Amino acid sequence: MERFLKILFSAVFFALVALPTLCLFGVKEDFTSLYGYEKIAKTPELSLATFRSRGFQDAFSESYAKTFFLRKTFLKTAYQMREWMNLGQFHYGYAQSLYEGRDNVIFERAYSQFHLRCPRPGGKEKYREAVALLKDIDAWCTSIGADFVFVPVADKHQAYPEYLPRWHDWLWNYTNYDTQAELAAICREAGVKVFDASTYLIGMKPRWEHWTFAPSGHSYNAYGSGLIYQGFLDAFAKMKTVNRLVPNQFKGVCPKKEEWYKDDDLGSLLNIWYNPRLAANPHYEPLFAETNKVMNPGSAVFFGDCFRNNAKKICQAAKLFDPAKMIDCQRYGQQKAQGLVPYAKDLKLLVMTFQSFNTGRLDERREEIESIFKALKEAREICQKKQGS
Amino acid sequence: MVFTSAVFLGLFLPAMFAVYFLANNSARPYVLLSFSLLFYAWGEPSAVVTMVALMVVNYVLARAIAASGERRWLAKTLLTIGVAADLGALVAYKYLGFLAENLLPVLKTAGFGYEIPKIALPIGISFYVFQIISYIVDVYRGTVAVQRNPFKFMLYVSLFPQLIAGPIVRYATIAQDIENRTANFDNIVAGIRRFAIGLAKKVLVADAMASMVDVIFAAPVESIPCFYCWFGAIAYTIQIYFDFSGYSDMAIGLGRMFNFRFLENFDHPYSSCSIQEFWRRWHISLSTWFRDYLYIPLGGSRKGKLRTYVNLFIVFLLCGVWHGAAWNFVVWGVYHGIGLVVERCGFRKVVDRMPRPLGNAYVLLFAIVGWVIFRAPDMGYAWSYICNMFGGATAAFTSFSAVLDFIALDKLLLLVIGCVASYPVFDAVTRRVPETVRLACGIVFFAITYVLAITSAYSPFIYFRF
Repeated sequence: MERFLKILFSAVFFALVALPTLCLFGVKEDFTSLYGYEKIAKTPELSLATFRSRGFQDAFSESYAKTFFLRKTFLKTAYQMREWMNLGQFHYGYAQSLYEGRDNVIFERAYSQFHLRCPRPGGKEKYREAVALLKDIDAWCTSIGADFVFVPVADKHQAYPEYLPRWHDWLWNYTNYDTQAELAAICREAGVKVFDASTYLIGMKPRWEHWTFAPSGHSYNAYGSGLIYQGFLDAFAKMKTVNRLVPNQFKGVCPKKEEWYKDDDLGSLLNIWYNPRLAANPHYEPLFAETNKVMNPGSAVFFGDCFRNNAKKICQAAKLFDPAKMIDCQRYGQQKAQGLVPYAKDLKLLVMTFQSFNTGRLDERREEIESIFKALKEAREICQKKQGS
Repeated sequence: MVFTSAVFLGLFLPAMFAVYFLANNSARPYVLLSFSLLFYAWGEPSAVVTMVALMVVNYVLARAIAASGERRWLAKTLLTIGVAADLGALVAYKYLGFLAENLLPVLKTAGFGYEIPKIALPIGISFYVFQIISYIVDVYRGTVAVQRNPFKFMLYVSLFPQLIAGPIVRYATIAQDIENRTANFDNIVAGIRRFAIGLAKKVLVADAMASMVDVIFAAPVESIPCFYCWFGAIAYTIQIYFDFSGYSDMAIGLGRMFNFRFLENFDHPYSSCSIQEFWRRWHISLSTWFRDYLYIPLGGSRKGKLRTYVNLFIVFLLCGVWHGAAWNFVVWGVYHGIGLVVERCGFRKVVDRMPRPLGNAYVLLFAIVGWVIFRAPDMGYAWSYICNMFGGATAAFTSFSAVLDFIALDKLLLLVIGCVASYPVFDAVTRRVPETVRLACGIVFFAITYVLAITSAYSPFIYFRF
């Protein structure tokens, strides 16, 4: 019996370590249900240079860790075991990107890590550096007859701290600081147009009629986006671009069966958790008071963090601009000038959004903002050359 | 490459086994050497050159020392050159930045205007340099025969299970295994079992503790209530033991699968009743290395009390420095050095007269405070944290429900298991269980741990940075 068990033990060991390698021989699992919570790994390229720089090793490790045979089965088993051990609650410690707060509200771990860190000294200096760049963008926009508006927005942690898990309580009071308000103040000092959507939205929290973020989402839903949109219009009613606009007024939301934009963006990450209760979200559709006036004939470009897309989407729903004349730059640093040419020609509104990030993150983003700005300028030059010829 | 990573568990290991067991006996050392170098190059491609250069230098010097025969002065000179080269490499890679950071401001005021470039620390250098030194010293002392085959010497230094985080294996321990090994089924099973235990220690306990410890130690120190300070310190005490001893278990297990027998590196250190005993049980390969290659050559305890104290202090100061180029580690080493000197001065007699649980509580308290110094980002943080632990906290405690919310049930359970398993309780219990039951439980246990490990995110071992 002992001998048999020893053979069985070694057979289980060798089977478990060998089975994942089957992916190298073309045996693949269907990963569709796992997509959404991680990026698809890059294909590793082997060369002496990539090996020496560790580029190959990192890419290969990441790719292998995401595609080995039986990964889906192993992941589901692992999470089931952990959920079972935790009596149904999935927890900060082992969730890779999410954790559960009070009343089954889901939060994203990256934001939590930001909020749990104390303010870094020298933050204001970093903000000033960033604002100096925004001022350049503002000056350029003014020179071409457009408006630039910087829109800092609150993240879900700031909007719903009461739903954070209880263990956040002891840290929250020490570490929760309003980077958006701080940045907005510096923008105002520098003369950059800013709409502090964070202070605005949280200020009207007692009057919220619905969720502004879905319980299992990290993006603003139709209601949250609509409130910010209306605040933005009210704040800039006198702005040269907006006063030419004849926007529809936001009048609230009505229930909708499917998602409005990405209400359930964290929900899609839940597919491995066996926790359907966490994905039970109310979905809304924005409602507007229709006007019979024409929309602004110019173009609008939205860039920044994930809110840029909500901003574009709600402006589109409100018919602020022609939908074909609005673009949200997909990602910082990846925007090519050519893609912006149709919008740069008669650009009227440039909006940059910003959610809570520490100063280090802002520093990282500087390069990306510069590249967007550069792409826009190049696009504008291309337009001018075309007009000249 | 981390032992718990998908690439190691699900690719390197099976590939290694397949090639190793398909090769004939004489080719196996070369298979092991190739895979060991690949293992190292995978994480540190450029550092392989440093490691190979040190191997070549020490191989040649060791051969020359062995050939120097009766000319002890020549052997001594060659040994000095070898040790200086090894320590020089260690200092250059590990401590130059730290020295520059602390000395340059002073030197700049005296008109010295050079900048010292930052050099990346090759992973595992502290471990393999100590192995090489032990080898060359042992050859000089005549306690081991010199290895004539350069590839087998390279295999001794670069053997992947212990290459990057120990244990520090003496040449004498595996000299026989390097020369002659045959595949043995019982050894493979024993190795798998030991590897599974190490994997469980790391994945189940150490990583679970790390997730809580990281949150607490990332918080502003003034915001941490006393309870959380103790909780964080105790969780880290468990984490570092299970992390490091887990790695050692995996290394010993992997070695055993290939018929290498490494010595034990841990022996339930938290069950000690004196600091001296703690160091006989904690990171045994390092403490015995310092004993044999530093403490005894310095005179040990043979040259009077004062010299003994000085020797102990030097050894532990350097032991602290070995762990890292930062003031925390220096202070941690000094802290343990002082603790040992105080025990030697007579406190040990007091401790010996204490009931065993009281003696153990004293060691635990000493170790826990020491780990705070070790873990804190800087000495200012460590000091404030320790003050918080002993009543200086200004932040108010919220509620036990919040504590439970933070800890989570599984981790609380794992913390308790970790505390219990730090004592030789499990060994005593499992000895009474029939082997068949142990094997059956082992299979299930390994399968669970393996699934959790291969699906977990990258989590580097603490000792990799040393």
